[in-house]
Order: sequence, then C-alpha cells, then structure tokens
Amino acid sequence: MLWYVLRRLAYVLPILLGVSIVCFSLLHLAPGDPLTAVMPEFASDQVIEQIKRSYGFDKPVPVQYLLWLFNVLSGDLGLSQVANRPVLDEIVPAMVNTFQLAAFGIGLSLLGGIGLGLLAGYTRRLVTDRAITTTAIIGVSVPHYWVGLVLIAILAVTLGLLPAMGKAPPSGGFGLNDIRHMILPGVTLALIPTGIIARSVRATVIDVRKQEFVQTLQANGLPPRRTFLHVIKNASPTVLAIIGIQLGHLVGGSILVETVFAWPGTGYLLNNAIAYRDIPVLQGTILVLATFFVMLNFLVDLAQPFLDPRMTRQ
Amino acid sequence: MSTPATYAGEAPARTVEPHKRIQRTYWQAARRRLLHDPVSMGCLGILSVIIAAAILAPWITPHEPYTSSIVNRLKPVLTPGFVLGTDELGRDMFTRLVYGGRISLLMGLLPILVATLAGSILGIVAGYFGGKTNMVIMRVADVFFAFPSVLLAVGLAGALGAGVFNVLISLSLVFIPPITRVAEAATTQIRAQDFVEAARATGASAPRIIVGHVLTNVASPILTYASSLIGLSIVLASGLSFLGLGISPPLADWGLMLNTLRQSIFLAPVNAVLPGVMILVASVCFNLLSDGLRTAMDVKP
Repeated sequence: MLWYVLRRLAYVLPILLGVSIVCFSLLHLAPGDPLTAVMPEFASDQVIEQIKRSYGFDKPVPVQYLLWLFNVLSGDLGLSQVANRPVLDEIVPAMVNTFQLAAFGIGLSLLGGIGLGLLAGYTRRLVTDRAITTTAIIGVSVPHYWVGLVLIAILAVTLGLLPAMGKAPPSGGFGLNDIRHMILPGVTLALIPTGIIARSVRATVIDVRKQEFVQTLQANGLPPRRTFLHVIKNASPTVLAIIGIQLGHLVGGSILVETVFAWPGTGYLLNNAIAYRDIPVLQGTILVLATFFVMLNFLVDLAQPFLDPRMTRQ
Repeated sequence: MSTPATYAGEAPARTVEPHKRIQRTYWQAARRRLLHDPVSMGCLGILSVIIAAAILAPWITPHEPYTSSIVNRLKPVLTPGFVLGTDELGRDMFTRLVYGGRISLLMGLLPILVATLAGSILGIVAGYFGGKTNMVIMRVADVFFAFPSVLLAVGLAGALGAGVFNVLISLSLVFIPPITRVAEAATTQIRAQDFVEAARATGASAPRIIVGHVLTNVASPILTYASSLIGLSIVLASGLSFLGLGISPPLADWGLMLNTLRQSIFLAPVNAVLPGVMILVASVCFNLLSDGLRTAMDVKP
C-alpha cells in the first residue's frame, strides 16, 4: 500500500510542477507588458527600471519562475491589479462559495446519475434504457450556461418561484433562503455530470453483470437483492474515478454557470479578472482550481485500493 | 467468405449471384452502415441545413444583420417581417442567427481539425517510437490533461485576450492532449502486432510503416474520438464568446448573442434563449452523428 501511495505521488508531483509552469506562463502569454497596468503614465526610464526590479521582471524568466513558485508555496499569489489586495484574500471567500454550490451540484448529480444509470443498466434494450441513454447524450451536449438562462426565464421570470440570481444575503445561519438561491445554479451545474455519471454507471453495470461470478451467484440461488450488492461493489471503482473527474470539472467549469447566476464564486472572480485584464487574479485562481483538480484525482486514486485491493499490485 | 470451388463428394456450395458477392472494404462497409442509420442521417440532414444556411447567409436572410432599429426592439417571435423576433437593438433574430452560425460553427470545427492533425502526429510519434520520445510527449500531455477543459480554455483565452483567433488557439490547445492520448494508445497497440514487425523485418523505413500500416489502422479510433469532441468544442467556443472572449460586436455568434440578450431576459425571455437552441441543436446533432459513426466503424468506446 505504501509503495502504491509513493508511486502515485511520484506521478502527481511532476504534474503539479507542470501545472505551475503553465499557470506561470499565462502571465507571459498576455499580450503587452504585464506592468502597463501599474506603470505611471509618463514614467521615466529610471522609474520603469525601478518598478521592473521591484516586481522581479529584470531577471531571466527561469529565475522569475522559481521566485514566483517560492512565493506561491509560501501562500503569496501576488497582488490583484484592480483591487490592490492580495490575490489569496480574493480567492478564499470565492472558493468557499464555489465549493458550497459544487457540493450541492455534485450531490444532485450523484442522486440522478447513479439512479438513472442503474435503472438503464438493469433494463437493457428496454424503452427506459433507450430513453435514459438518449437523455444522457443530450445531457452532455447541452450548453449548460444556456440551460441556466432557460431555467431563469421559466422558473424565475415567468413563474416567479425562485430567485433568479445571486446568493442569499447573510442571515447568520444557513436557512431556507440560502437553499432557494442555490437550487437553479445547482441544478444547472449538475446537468452535465448527471449525464456522464449515468452513462458510465450504465456501461459499468452492464459490463459487471456480464461477468461469470454474477451468473454463479445467481445459480447458487442468491436473491437478486444480494447479487445487486455484489454488482455495485464491483462497479464502484470505475464509477468513483468518473465522479472524481466530474467534481473537478464541476468546480473548474463553474465559471460559465456562476456568470449566468451572478454567484460570487471563483467563476465570477475569473470573469471579472478577464473583464479588467487582472492577470494575477486570473493566474492565481486557475492555479488554485487546477491544483484542486489534480489533488482530487490523487485522492480518488488513493481511495481506489479500498474498493478494489487488486489496484495496489503492479 | 466465398468458396472458390466445390470438392468432389461435398455438397455444392450455396450459389450466390456474382453481383451480391461484392467484397466490401472496411471503409465501404462503415459508410454503408452509417447511411442506413436513421438517427445519423437525420442529424446529418439538420447539420447540412445549418451549414448551408451559414454559407449562403447573405442570399437567404431577409434583413441586414448589423442595422439596428430603435422602434423594432425586442419584437416577439412570429412578428410579421421578423419570423424569430428582434434583439435588443431591433435587429432581425433570424438573420443574426444565420450569420452567427458562420462564426460559431467555424470556431467549433476548426480547433478540432487542428487538434486532430497535431494530436495524431504527436500521438503516433509517441506510440511508434516509444521510450524517451513517448515519455516526453505524454508527460506534457498529462500536464494539460490536469486542467478541467473549460478552465484551461478560459485561462488561455483570458490571458491571450479577446478575439476569434485567440479562441481558436486556446481551444486547439485544449483538444490536442486528449486526441494525442487516444492516438498514442491506438498506435502502441498496433505497433505490437506481427505485421508491423514483418514490415520492419523487410526493411521498411519508419515513415513508410507509419503511413502505410499504422495510419490506416489507427485512423478510425482517432476519427471517431475527434468527432465526439465537436459538440463539446461548439459548446465551449460559444461559452467563451458568452464570456466576451470571442468575437466583438456588432459581429455576433450564438454565444455572444446569448450574452447580449441576457440583459433582456426579463423583457423577452423567448428571444433571449433562442441562440442557445441553435448551440444545443448543433451540438446534439454532432454528438449523435459521432455516436452513429462509432457504431458504423465498429470502434469500441
């Protein structure tokens, strides 16, 4: 087991390093001088030189990268060019909001995706299976930001049932109003993961049910309810991997949905960073989200052996 | 299989009319299966109409796409003269949706084309040569794979700045790693087969083996996989436009139309969601067509 953990770690660390290089180069991808935003309009050459030095831009790029990486590892993601506050102070509250919404969304999609997937896997070639498979295809093709708009148009504008945008004002606790504000964005976020989870649960369940041990169990007279448990247990590693990836995509892809619903999370932060060309915030947010995605997959990998001990064998 | 001759003492082989005994190549058989699939053909029909409309836009649209009219703002659907109503500046929605298809489809299809070319080359090279070459290419691909696709697209396009060209670059970069992975896996599998070894033993050079033996065998998994990404690419491209990263007004694609009409959702909810219907239809059709293609080419997912 320890060997397995070390092997996964040896795989993840270079990836994290690569992710940091990509994020670092975002600053240099941006057209124009990254300092134009902070540079005084008619700065003399001397002042320009001084500002460059204070930001470390006078050094060669690899050195700049190492300095930047060192700062990042000690929790300094730089200064927001617009708000002039540390980027980290902007990201943390946004992260909390994003996670709140993501937890709600992934909960919904687990319920829907696993339920529909099992139903389709057990009713193969029947109308339910075809209906669910087609819905799943449409579910993955749908532009979810647009579904958000449709939901707003129907449920918030026409019927007036739910609030259209934003997060509930803080009321000291977590009440009904908070949930009411989360329903529309949560359902929108859950849409694509539900389709993908349903599709993979269906495929895995069909696959497992074809294996011989299921036949043996049935031949031995095990009631369907008990064979079902065996099928679930064997399908769980694959499904867990998919769920991990989907949660990551849900958090990383929240920018579009959060923009539609004006939800004050990382997506909203990114959108503002793009609008005002605040590259440090863009860079920091993407770094944090991508690191989260990598670590999430790492944790899923670590959890796999508990579901299927064969994983630890090379 | 056809039996060339009957042997003495054996029952005569079932005679088959010569014209029915046509040996089909793999590609002919795949095309035949695809042409007989009603869902795929329906999707192909819808897509042909959308694409033809986009190409023929100036000749089939009743209005100018960019002239606004204050008095005609946000007319509802089915207003005489404006079949699909008008947008927030009084421009004909139908006309703008047709024109918008030009950019939306282009921004969805071109990145896949670029990524399929680049990804196939990288993947086949990595898979065929193995060793260090493989490690370098695949580890770099892994790094890009570590980003959720929307996040990577937004990050790259956000850093590069708004513009159609930048969106094309960002989306191509997003789709190269997954295609590289599929191409690499397929090539590694083919490379281990005896006929490749035989070709090498007869002295065929690496480029010759790749073009003559590997490429024909990895083409179908790569093509079906790439085609399954088109829908996502259209959704992502429109998404970037929706965030204001794509084309700039008064030109418009479906994503940007969604963005600008969003402000009017309380006044004209139907008009505001129309551009999304186009994105949805295009994306669903491409995905269903790709599904049919996979079945026709008999590629296991």
